[in-house]
Amino acid sequence: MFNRFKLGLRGKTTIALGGLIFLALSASSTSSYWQSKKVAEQKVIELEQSKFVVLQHEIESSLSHHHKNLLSLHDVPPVQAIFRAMAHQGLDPESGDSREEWDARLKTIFTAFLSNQPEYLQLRLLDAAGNELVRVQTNSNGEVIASADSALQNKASSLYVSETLKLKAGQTYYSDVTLNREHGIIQQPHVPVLRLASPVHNADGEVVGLIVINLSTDRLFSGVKSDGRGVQRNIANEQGYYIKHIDADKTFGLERGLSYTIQDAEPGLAKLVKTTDYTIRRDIEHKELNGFQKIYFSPQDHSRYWLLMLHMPEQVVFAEIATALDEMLLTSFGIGLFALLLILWYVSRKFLSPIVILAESAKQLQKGNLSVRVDESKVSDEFQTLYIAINAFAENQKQSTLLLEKEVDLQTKRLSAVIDNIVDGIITIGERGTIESFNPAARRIFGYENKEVIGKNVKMLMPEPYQSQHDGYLDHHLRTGEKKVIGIGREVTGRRKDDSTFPMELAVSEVKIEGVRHFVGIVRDITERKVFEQKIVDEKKQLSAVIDNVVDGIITIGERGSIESFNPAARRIFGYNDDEVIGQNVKMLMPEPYHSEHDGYLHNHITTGEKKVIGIGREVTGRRKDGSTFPMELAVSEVVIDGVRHFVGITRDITERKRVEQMQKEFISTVSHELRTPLTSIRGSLGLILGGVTGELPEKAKALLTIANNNSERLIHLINDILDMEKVAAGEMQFDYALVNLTSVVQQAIESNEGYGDELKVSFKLVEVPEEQVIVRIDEKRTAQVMSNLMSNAAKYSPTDDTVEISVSVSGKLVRISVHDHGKGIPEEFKSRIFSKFAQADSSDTRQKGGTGLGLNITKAIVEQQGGSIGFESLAGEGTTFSVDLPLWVEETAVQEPEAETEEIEQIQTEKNDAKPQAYKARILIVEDDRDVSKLLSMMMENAGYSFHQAYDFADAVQHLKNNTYAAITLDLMIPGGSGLSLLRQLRHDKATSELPVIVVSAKARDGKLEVEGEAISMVNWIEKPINQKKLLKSIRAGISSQTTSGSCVLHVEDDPDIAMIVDSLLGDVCQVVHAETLQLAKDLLSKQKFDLVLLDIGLPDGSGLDLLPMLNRDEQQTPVIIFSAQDVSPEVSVQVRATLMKSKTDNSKLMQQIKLAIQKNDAKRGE
Amino acid sequence: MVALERILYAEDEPDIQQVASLALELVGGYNLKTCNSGLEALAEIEAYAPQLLLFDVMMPDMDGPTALEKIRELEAFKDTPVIFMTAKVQPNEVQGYLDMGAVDVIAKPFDPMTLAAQIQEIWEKVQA
Repeated sequence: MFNRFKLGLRGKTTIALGGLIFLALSASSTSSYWQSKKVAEQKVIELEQSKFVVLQHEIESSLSHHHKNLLSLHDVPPVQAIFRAMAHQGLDPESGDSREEWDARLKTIFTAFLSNQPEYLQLRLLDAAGNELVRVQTNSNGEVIASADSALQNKASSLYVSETLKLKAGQTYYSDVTLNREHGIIQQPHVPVLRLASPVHNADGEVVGLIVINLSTDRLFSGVKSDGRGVQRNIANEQGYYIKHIDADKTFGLERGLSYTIQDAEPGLAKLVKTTDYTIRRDIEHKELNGFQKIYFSPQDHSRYWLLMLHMPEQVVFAEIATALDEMLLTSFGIGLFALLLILWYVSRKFLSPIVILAESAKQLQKGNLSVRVDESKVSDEFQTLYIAINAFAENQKQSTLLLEKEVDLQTKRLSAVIDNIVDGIITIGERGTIESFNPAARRIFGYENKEVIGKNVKMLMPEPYQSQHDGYLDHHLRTGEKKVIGIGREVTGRRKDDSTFPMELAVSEVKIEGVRHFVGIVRDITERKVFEQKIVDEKKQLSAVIDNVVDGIITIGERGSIESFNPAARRIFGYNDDEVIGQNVKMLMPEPYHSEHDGYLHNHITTGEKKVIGIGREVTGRRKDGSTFPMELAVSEVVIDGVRHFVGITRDITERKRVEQMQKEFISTVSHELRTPLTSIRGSLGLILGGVTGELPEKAKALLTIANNNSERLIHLINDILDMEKVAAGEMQFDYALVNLTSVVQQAIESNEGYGDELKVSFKLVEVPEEQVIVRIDEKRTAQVMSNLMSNAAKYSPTDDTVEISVSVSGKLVRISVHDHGKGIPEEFKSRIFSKFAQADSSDTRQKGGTGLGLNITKAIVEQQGGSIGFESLAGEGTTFSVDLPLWVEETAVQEPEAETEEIEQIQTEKNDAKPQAYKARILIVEDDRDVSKLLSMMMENAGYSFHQAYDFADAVQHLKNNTYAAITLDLMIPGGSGLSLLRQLRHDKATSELPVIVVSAKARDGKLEVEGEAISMVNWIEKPINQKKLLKSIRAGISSQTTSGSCVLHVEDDPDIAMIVDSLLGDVCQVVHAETLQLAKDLLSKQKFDLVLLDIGLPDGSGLDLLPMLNRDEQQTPVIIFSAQDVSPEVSVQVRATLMKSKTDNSKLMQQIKLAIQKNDAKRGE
Repeated sequence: MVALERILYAEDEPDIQQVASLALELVGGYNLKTCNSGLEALAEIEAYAPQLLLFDVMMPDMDGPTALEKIRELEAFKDTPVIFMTAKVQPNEVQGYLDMGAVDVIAKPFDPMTLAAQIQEIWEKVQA
């Protein structure tokens, strides 16, 4: 097949190319052949034409020559003389010679002439009658003979005679060319003769005769000749008779009796003769070149002419070029053939082969053989491009196929993996329901093995009624094409092998594979999901139940305020239906001005995140459908669901509550009014009477009336208290703030309550006041009330004849009013309840002491309302101190005016707790006997911005303390007049100074040399009580860290084994702990051993732990001491230690630091 | 400083009237005109020409505030100081009285022995 193909193209190409080339060549050679021929023809024609012309000229010039000859003959004197002689009886008058003479002379001339002119046959002279006068002729022998007179003829009948006589002088008549006759018989051989004649005129101008030359045209027409090649040149006259012809028979047809004219011989030409004088043409019919040339030989008569006729056969025409042309043809063909072969070879190699190869490769590719490649190096140009392309294509295809195969393989594997591993069951069935495939998941779900189901009808997997129906469904679907399950996931019930049923999600799709229809079912066991769904449904139901049945309205809105949900309660509250509100803006539920403001609030919240209502329950006003408004409690929260923000509002119609509140208020108001009214009278009357207005009273009466008065007072107080309580509860207590000097308020209060005190035999004493004014911003009345409450309480619980001590002191930003009684103190179990309503330690007390039990509750409220705080201290057996702290009025930072919102009170409280004490000029008492050290300390104090007093001994210190208040004391333990420790104890014991920060300072050098820098002064740090374990540990660690930590040894002086154990566990990993349960033991240990730290409990069975301190101080290396008291672990604690001390080596700056810190701490604590 | 002498006192409860009158007249030494109601006070005021008005709030047929309002319409008494004496001393109520133009409020029950002093104090404050 390959060969045929090749041949086909090759053959076609060959034929095509060959044909083309052949055609081209033929065309060109033919064209050039014809061109050449034409050229040749043209040349010949031109040649013949010129030949014609030449002949014509020849003939004409001959004729002209002959004409000249004739004329010269005419002019010879004999001629005229003869005629003159004739005219004069044979004698020429002029010459006198006779006619005979003159004839003879003329004969002589004629003879001479003829001898010279062989082509002249005759020369004659004729007279006007046509008689020959003189005749000289050349006979056939060539002799020139003058004819005798007797031979002379008359030629009057000849045309030439008559014609010539008509002519003018000088004109010549040319006769037709005729055959010469002798005595009327055509001379043989033929001699064509032309007669030239010219008239002779005498002196008078009359024509007297003519001269005639008989010319043999042989010579004239000698130029006109034919040749052996076939070229004919003939001459014919105007009548068409040949006068010269290659075939003599054809000449002079007329004379010889042959009517052979040119019309016979050559009609075509003959026709043309009529129209033109000349032509040369190609006569294709006769295969010759022929033509003619007219020669007008008679000047007078244009109708007479001779025709030079030409016939040139083609061969002759093209003879010259014929061979050349043939040669040319041959050469061209030769070249052509060669070129053809060359081209063929080239084309074949360059074009056909590659194409063939390409075609073959393409075929291979088509067959699927992707490995076929073509050698692109063997070709160039576009073929190379093609080759490369084919190669590339093949390669691509190969790769693609490989990839595809891989892909298919992969996909198949994947699909198999999917089908095998998918959780959902995949079951395929045929048209009739026969199970065709059953993936592992399906096996798991239904509990069957493949072999148990393949080939069986799928309805085995269904319980009734589906099982019976399934065939019908299938059938129906196949017939009608209706999709009941196809493409739509449905929940159905499946049946397992063990006959149990389960909820199942089924999605069926239909596929056609190679014309066969299958159904693919995807099965999911949704048992769990169903359970879950049910749960959700249940939950939802519950939630709906809640939302629907809850009493409060629940409204949800979107970001822009449009209502999204509106529960039944809301509907009830507002009087709207769902459809009336859903989608509407929530502001429709609000009256003005909230209505207009709400959009702004929403927008503000969304843009700034500021919560004005969110999360805070508020009382607002709602507007019902009927336009009526009502008070509403609204709590709004924000939720984000799926990135969308919603707000949930819970509304409660508090009309009722408000009404009740209002009623309460009114009730209270009314009741109080009603109660007070009679009381007014009672008290008034009693007051007046007891006031002496009505005069002297009998003792008993006075006593009784006093009782009555007291009780009415009590009643009044009770009512007031109740009302106050209500006010406080309602947040309605009004405060009248003013800037007052607290000191004077306190003083006033003391005065006001003096009477009360006197009754109880208790006196009030203001034991301490600040030097400067104490300006506070308070409600004077209310604060007085507080004072009364506290004082009356103190008085109530004071022993008889005792004094209740009141003090006012400033520390930091706060001023403290302390009311101290020496009563039996507040029982432990009551301490927590002390500020609650109706709390009294002992109801018996109530009756005894009076009072409603409301006092402290109200007092606390009032104090706190004013931005203060209240606290107490009470030791069983030692009395009670109530302290009220109030913030000082400071110009720059005004205390916020508290509003009636409870949350704001709390806010202020926290603010107060966080507030750092301002730097103020606190006063320090420097207790130091060494003047230099004292000076040093005072300088330090001054530098730190403190004012100071200096005390140099015990008594001095006591005196100072008595008269002044200090922010802190620096205490040298070694002072004359008493131990520093005992002073310390005293300080602690004294209520006024129990909280005073004491910094114990001991100078090291005793010999006067004072080391100011470095560790000259060791100080005792003050850690306030009550101690906590963390603090203890910290300070212990700190104390220890100033020493080396490794191998540290701590002496723990403590009698309580529990505490010992605690400390042990705290410190066990840090250092070694040695225990001493008694003072003595501790002393022993201390004398034997050096410790890095001493933990000292003051309360020891055999003495105070403080007694150890001197021992510790005496050493060169001062042992740090931490003194602490254990926390109260039982209500009946024996001793409460007010202080802890820690001794550590430190330097000056640290000392100041500690002082500051101590003061600050104290301030903060007092502010609580 | 003008001495306070004439007080117009309106109170409907006779007991309280008696106590207050005693307190003010005997203890305080003031001249007192006692009326049983706002209406009566209104009737008596022009004739009595008091310097100070001491009104109970809750009175039948015309309560204290209304009486005050009416009195204020009288040219001569439009600036006469008024003290309300009442058990209705809720904070808002007190403010209400003050807004009405009362110079002070004395709560019931009052201490008869100090009532006069209170009145005096208020009078002096007003005069200042």
